[in-house]
Amino acid sequence: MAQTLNTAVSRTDAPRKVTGTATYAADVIPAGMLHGALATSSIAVGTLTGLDTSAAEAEPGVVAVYTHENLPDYKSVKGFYAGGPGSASFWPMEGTEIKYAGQPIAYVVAETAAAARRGAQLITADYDSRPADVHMDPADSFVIGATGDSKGMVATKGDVPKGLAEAAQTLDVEYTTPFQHHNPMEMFASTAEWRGDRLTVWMPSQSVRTLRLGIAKAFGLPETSVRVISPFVGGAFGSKAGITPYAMLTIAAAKAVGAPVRLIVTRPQMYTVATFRPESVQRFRLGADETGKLTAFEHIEIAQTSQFDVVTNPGTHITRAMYASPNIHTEQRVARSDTNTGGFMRAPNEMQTFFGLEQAMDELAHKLGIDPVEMRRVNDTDRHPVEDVPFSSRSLMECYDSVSDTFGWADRTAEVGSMTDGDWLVGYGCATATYPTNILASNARVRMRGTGHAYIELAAHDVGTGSYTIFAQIAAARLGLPVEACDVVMGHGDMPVAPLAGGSGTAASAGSAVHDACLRIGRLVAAEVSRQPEGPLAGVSADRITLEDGVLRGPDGHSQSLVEALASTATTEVEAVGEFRHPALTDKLIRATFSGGYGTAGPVTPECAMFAFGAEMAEVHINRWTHEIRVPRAHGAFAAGTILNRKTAHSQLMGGMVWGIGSALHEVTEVDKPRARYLNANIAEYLVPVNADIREIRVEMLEERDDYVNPLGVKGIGELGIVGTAAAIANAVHHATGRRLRHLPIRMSDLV
Amino acid sequence: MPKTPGPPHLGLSRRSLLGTSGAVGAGLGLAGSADAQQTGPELAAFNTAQITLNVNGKRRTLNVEPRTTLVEALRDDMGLTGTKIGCNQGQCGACTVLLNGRRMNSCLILAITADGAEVVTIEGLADPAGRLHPMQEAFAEHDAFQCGYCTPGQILSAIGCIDEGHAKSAAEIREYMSGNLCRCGAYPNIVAAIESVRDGQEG
Repeated sequence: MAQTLNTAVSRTDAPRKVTGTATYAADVIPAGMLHGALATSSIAVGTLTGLDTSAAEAEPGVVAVYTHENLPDYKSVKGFYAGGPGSASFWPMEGTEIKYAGQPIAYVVAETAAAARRGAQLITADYDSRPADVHMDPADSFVIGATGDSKGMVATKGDVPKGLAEAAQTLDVEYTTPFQHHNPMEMFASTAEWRGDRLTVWMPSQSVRTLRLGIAKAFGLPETSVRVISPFVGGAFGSKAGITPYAMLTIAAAKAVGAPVRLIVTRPQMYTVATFRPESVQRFRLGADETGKLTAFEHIEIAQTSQFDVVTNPGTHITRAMYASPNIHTEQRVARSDTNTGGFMRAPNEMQTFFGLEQAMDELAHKLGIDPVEMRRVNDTDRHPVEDVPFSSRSLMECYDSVSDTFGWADRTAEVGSMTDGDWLVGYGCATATYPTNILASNARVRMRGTGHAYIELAAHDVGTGSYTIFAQIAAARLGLPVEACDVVMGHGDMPVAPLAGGSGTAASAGSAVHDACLRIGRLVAAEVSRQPEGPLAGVSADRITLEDGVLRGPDGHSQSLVEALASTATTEVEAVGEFRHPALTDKLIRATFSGGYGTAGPVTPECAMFAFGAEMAEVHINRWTHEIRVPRAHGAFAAGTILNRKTAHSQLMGGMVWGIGSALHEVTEVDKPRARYLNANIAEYLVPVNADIREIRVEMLEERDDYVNPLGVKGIGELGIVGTAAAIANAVHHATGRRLRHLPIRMSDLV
Repeated sequence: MPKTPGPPHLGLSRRSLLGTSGAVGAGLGLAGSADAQQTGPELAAFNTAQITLNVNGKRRTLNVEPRTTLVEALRDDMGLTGTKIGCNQGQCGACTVLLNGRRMNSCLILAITADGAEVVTIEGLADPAGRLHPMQEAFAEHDAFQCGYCTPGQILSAIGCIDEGHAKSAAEIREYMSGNLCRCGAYPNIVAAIESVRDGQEG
């Protein structure tokens, strides 16, 4: 059997994706389907005093217009951060209250998409408008939740003022990061079909179980009456996790109109009807001795949240795990403003906090005259600096050494502005990447046949991450089958429980459940063949038979391939449900995942701190005359435990670094602050990297073994690549120009 | 909470759709069926126009509203859902098709203006025996996508890019493929896939 793990395997769903036969939510067209369109509020805060739907109703092709007055009732569910399945706790079209700009106020159903769109445009509204505000005043911020314990939002060790007083150099700086929107290429879409009291919903989802549970609750249905189908997701990045108003409204409209309804949310509306990355302020006070060793570490993050939820993405939990310091203080704060509720966007705790942390480390290294890589080396630690537990594995400096080699860090001359290439100023910058390892309960069902085929089923998701492929690889490796003989089916709410596709946890958790199901199949088949009158393992005690790479082995050298053994049984078919229950998972955490939430035991357990690490280096060219900024190359070396598929993992990490370049140089949702409205809510003016923005991206994946995190030794890589990229670029900009840019994105105008 | 459900504002003066919920579907249900069938919905109360397109080598006649875009006609009327909508405003390239041999954003084209045109979509690239187009194979081999949503548009754009002679170097490919956004960030692999097909054609 050829090795199937830690190799480069082409995606098993590639043939479908290159032929247009992968079915995304909006590709399903149930018979009799009508089209929905949303009308949204033009003000951010106030009361709806009038809604004129007559022109919309008179529009040819429009079938119905729903408002808060005639939409069928459903029960609201809480938002994700309040422990519910919703994207936010406030539900539009339940009354006349307006709490954010772009809030749905009417839902048009029509025979064609064009008629629905036109109908929505014809709706006019009157408002009693009140002042709205988007601001980040630290004075108005507050600490989230309890303090003191390890999950708490404030952590203190030692005495930071004392550490600062003892330091040879100190730093007291603030960084800001903007609102950003996920902008997956697939527009938000939802198609709902009622047949009596049975409901089918097609929508792109990172958590079909969460959706099914929440929809069932909202509409008073047993969960078994609700089907949520999401086999392919056209990018998610955190935007397709909770139940959003557009889905709930579509379900209600389909119920009212008596026909299936599909809504494709417009690209501009995607900015307000779902979540986003909240803006933030990152304050760092650091002190270090002459050798660069930290004497004090303080990080206070203030993140934006809505008036009706408290978005909790505790970045300080991650920054305080990075570097040794005798004196540490971290604080997680939020400040409210008049927007919809934000959420998680790729590396939600890490992208913005590491833009701060890794630039602060660079600033301090520069003040001390220390090489930035050496600054990280002297502060590297094998124990969590606050929790005082060992890291399950930590290869940060191995990553720095590897990327220094490929990138040629030794060629960097330390002096600012000392490297040039014709009219271009050249800068080299580096930064640490990390991502916490999440541990979540998961199940998976594997059915194997004596013909040499296996079927793997679980309510997990492939949002472009490669899950279809890696689950097939895991089953192939364990069962001794070719990858193409292992058929993976996912994205249905009624399959065995798997966690939300977020926090880079799918491979680690759901993958471990697939692994466990295969081992159980081995035991079931072993029990069968040991009872048979003849055969290589006949009469051998079943509990002494082990499964190794698809071969059943007895204690005395007798063995039989699993496929052959299975083919010799009466049923020639066997099925098992595998479970992943890490010892650190408490009943409460398992229950959370099984009820549609996110019950992670990571990244710190009573025994270990679990993080993947990486080191990134960027070369920046800045035109001396025009100040045009280019990134001709970015290199990253990453250590994230076992790499299951070197091809898809490479794409994940590379894509993460492309996101990092986007954060550094392009991405910002501009806000008209006094009106609390987004100004560039489309994918031409909200810049994302295009092909011409991306030149050389080099990704190295280091070997790393971690026996603690899960039986596969997998840490997760979906978000690791983005973390640190923006800081590496900002540090390179400083190296090239001497300009410290403490906000994102960095633009030509900042360098004039 | 919404108030007690009331009757929807039904457009009863128009076609009584609710009573005949199969009517629209009857049209849609023909998607993918034999050539030259009338595949548009019967839209008696609309101003519609009959158009004929040659889609992937097959003649298709359909009735469309003047405001229906080509991508909507392809997807909703003909059931060719391989072509994706990523923005519906010409910003992302996900809906790229070959229109009379040129790559175009099909969301920016009204279907009626394409009357008589030849359209190639992702469904039309494999040969009759089902063998993939070299660009499809190259995208799979080079992992030139992750979520796959922009992929049909990228592949058609890539074919157009080579046909136009704009694939002479990696830099030129990057420039001429910049109308097709990939949020997963597969760009370097997309460039590699296009280079491999270009080199294969040259060889």
